[in-house]
Amino acid sequence: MFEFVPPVFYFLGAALLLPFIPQGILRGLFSLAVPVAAGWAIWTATQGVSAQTDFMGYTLTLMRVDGLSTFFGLAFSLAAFVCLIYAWHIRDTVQQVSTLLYAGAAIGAVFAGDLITLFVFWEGTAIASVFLIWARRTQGAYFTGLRYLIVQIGSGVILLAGIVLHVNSTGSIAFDSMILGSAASWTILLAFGIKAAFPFLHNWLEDSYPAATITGTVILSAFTTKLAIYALARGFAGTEELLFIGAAMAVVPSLYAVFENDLRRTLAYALNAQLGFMVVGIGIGTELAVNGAAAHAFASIFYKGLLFMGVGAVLYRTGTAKVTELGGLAKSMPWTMAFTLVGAASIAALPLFSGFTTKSLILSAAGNAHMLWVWGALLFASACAVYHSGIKIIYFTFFGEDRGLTPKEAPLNMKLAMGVTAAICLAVGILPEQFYALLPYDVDYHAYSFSHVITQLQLVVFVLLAFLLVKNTRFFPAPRATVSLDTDWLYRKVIPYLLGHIATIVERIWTRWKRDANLVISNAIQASYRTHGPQGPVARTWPTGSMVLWVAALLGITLLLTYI
Amino acid sequence: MTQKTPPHKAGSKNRENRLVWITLAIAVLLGLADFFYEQHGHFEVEHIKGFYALFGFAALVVLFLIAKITSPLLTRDENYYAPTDTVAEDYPEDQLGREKQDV
Amino acid sequence: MPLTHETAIALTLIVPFAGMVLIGLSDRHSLIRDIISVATSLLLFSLTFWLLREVEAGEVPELILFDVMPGLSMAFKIEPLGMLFGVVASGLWIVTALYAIGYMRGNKEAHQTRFYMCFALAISASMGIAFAANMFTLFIFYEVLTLSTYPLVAHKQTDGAKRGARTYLGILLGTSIAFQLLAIIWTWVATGTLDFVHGGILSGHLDDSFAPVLLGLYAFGIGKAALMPFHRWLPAAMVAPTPVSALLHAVAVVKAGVFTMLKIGVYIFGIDYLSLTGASDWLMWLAATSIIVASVVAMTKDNLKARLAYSTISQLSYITLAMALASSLGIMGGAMHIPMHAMGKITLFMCAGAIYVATQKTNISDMRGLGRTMPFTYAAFLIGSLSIIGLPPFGGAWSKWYILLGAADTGQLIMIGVLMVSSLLNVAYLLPVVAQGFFLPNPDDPGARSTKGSFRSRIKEAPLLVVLPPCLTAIGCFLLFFYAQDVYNLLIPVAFGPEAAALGPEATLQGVGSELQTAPVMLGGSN
Repeated sequence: MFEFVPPVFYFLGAALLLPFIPQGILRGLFSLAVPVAAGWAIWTATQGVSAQTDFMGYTLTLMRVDGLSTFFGLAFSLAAFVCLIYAWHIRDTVQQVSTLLYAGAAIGAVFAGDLITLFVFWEGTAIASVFLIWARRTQGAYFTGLRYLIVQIGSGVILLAGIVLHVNSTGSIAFDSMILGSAASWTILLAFGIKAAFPFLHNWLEDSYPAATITGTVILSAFTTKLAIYALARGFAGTEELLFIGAAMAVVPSLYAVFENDLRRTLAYALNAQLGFMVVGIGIGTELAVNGAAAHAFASIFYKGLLFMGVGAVLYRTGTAKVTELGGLAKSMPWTMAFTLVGAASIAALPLFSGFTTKSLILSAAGNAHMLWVWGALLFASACAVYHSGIKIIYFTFFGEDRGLTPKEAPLNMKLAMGVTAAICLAVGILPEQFYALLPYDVDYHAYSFSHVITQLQLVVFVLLAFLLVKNTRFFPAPRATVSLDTDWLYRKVIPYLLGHIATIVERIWTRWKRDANLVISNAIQASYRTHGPQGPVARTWPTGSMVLWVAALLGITLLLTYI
Repeated sequence: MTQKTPPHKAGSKNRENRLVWITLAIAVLLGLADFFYEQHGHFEVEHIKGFYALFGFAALVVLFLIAKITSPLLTRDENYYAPTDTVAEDYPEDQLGREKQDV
Repeated sequence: MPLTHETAIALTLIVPFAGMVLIGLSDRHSLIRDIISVATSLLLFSLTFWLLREVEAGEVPELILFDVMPGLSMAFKIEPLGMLFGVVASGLWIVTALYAIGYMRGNKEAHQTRFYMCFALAISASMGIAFAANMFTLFIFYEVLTLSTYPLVAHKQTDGAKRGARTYLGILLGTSIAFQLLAIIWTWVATGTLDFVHGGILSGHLDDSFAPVLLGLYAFGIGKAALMPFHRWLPAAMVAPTPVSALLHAVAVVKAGVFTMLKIGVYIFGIDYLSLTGASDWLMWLAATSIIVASVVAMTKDNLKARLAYSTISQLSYITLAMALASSLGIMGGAMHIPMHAMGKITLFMCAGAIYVATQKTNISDMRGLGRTMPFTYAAFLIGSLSIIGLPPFGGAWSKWYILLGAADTGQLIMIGVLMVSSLLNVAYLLPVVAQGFFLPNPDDPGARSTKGSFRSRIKEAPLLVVLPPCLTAIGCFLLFFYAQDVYNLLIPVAFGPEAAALGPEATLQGVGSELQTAPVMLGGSN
């Protein structure tokens, strides 16, 4: 059908075959081969548009290969590879199939050259991923999954509405850079914004990621939000509104990440804050900034994934990921700690780690554009990130109060996955030139200046110092066994409460109205019988009278029957 | 943290004190370093000596203060959303690999 | 002897009728009876398929039986929309016939012969509706369909079944006589014809201010379209055995309703006339209300079939809404929604029946964990749900796409919003069934929480003839996504006018696709 098979079909085909391959080494190797093959296909794909098909009168483009899509395609393939290593021990076919479908849909969306194809895969990521939450097979996960699905499919139908408006006004289905202004562009931005977890649209992320299975959270953290970042970079680079959205996004979740008790939810908030950096980069829109957004998305996939893996390994061995129940695991899980430290150092942007070489692209772009407030917000968020996803995770899990937990070290496949991911984080940090060469645009940038190294070290060390000094005072907001109230409070508490009241009122009015209506109808029938019936005054003009009577009776019966 | 330290945790207390001192020493060195090289930056504030150090320290203190003030408003008991939430649930045991270290 | 158009049309009516007689004669031999039932459905489908090929080739098969009075005759004339309905009804009858065998035997239902006879008669009536050349013929078969399905609804002969069937008959007959007949007479008096003509017959014969009233009489008179507030017959008919529900919801009855609705819009009023006079504006709002309210009610129903019934009410209003938009693209979407919804909804109903056959459960809250023992049924249910929600890669996505384009074309942004909200409500009431089935522990079998245990050993599905049909239609939902092009091509003359068909499908498609999509609108003449 195509001269070049789009990599998404590797994943879809493998997902179809997978249930027929016996569980164990064979199935594990088979699924690992899929992202490798896809990555190779993306790496060797020629630039330009291919795999086009005429369908329903539209020319759908399944492969639009350029710098941006290749970069995200490679990132997703690599992410799928490490996630599959991490999930090697899983024997649940549902999770295995949905992982492949999910990664495939995300890659399919990245290479989509038109809006219809984008929509198809956009919804594909929503449906495939929800099974990673439901696979926890508890009541809480079931409800959380439903909420997640409604938000995700909601993003899809909003995207669909935007596409319909776009097609209607421009006649084109091409997915290219858009100018914010028309109803169509705002609708599409809203759809992207939901998946990118914009402020007030964000809560599905913090709600659902900690509810997924251990491996599911790692997989979820890699794709959906980064796909949204890709879509924003493709469609809305240079949109000024994104600056403010991104800045708010980088700062506000940091607050929640401080007092949140569940470490996986802490990381979800931290992830949301990191997305803010990327959104700012896209909002600036220069080549350096978009490069920064892409690079940071790549780095974030892996260091955030690494942190989720580390916390997941702890959860796997101890049954909990809560600050109030963890502590002192440094001795029993040293490998996990070492790898998690790499992730923490990366998000803290220590020199030689990935955050250092990627975050600085965005900060420099903000500096080049002289956006002092945006830059300040990002710097503040960087300082916060050092604490909540670096110090907090490491300190409360591996040090802090000893709770007498002596779990075994993480299983081999988890260690291996963490090791590979840690190596990726280090490689991005140590070999920035080679990494920058992969970025969508050619930009001359040097991360390692003496000034940059020193200032970044100052930032990190003084945050650590502040933590150590405040920790034992009463000003320290120590996480307690609580849940955090976020925007989901509105739709989980307030709206159901109001709806319940409205429903009771409506029901009461309805019952009364129904009774009254029946009364009125039967009275009317009786009255008409009196006047138009055989004995009535109108009986002199008998044919007319009977006709009116019958029509009235018929209408009455119909109405009554309707509401029996 | 006001309660008396139990004896078996005394060691960790000492280690923590040592950590604070080491961090402090590194911090001072890094802060002083600003006086010995030419600072680059896009904004004037970046040329203030020790800007990043002060900013990092202040940022975290501010963050902690806001968190301390807002957390009573923004947190509820773990069962607040139950049963539609996983917070109050145990992670399903059959999906865990809970193993103790053989010591 | 070569098959002529006249014979073929006559045969589509006679074959199911003859099947009914033969079924009646073979009462004693259940196997022979069942074989006849399936064979008849296969024969009918081959006939409609042959006719489809003819219609695709641009032919217009006609058959005039007799004249009732000058200008009014019992006549049949196949245009693409009727052809589509005919193929959908006869094609899904095969699946339903197979399913009915498994279901009726699996449940050990009584009076199976009567059941199959009425079933065949109902299909015969559907064919009459599909191919009717004028409103008079359509009305006659419309009433035959109502009457022939009444014994099916009352099949169980319990008090509840009889009550449900009475509501069913009362509303359908009541509305059709009180409103539809009146509307037909009015149309006849005003225009002197009842023929279906593309572009409508009313223009110039009816005062514009009366157009909404006449449309109202039609819209409420077509009770089978289940437009609120005349929708109660559908949930009431839930007492019937599941194959009947499939017949009602997917194959014949409701589809006959919305089909008639589209016929009225395209061939009696004409979309230009509707769009010029704005006669259908109120209907659009009513349909939108119906969509949302029925979805909300569906969420409150714990009985699976009742929930699906309200889902049908909501989905039927999509088609009414599409017609009321009075735009070519809307008509295209509405017409495409007939096969797309039929395939999805029949899957859901047959799955509900399969669950009932296997476990005797009817309430969703009792179905937790059943997905583990009935994975094929639940997988089919999932696919049917996704198609109903309108997600790719399933057929329902395309019909929704064109309805949305129609709404955008007429500038009805609120309708776009309604359709979006409806999609989310669909998610909220359909997918919990699947999720509970697969991912929550079965209260009867709490030990079976984990995924351990061999796949084969834990399966307890319903009999093959009950499980296979929904799996086939689920695959059908998937295939319809890719074969939507054929449906589209078939429907071009209906939506964009016969002139567009003369230009060939490419012209229209080009217009909708790459160029500005005003081209088909110009061809269709609306706006």
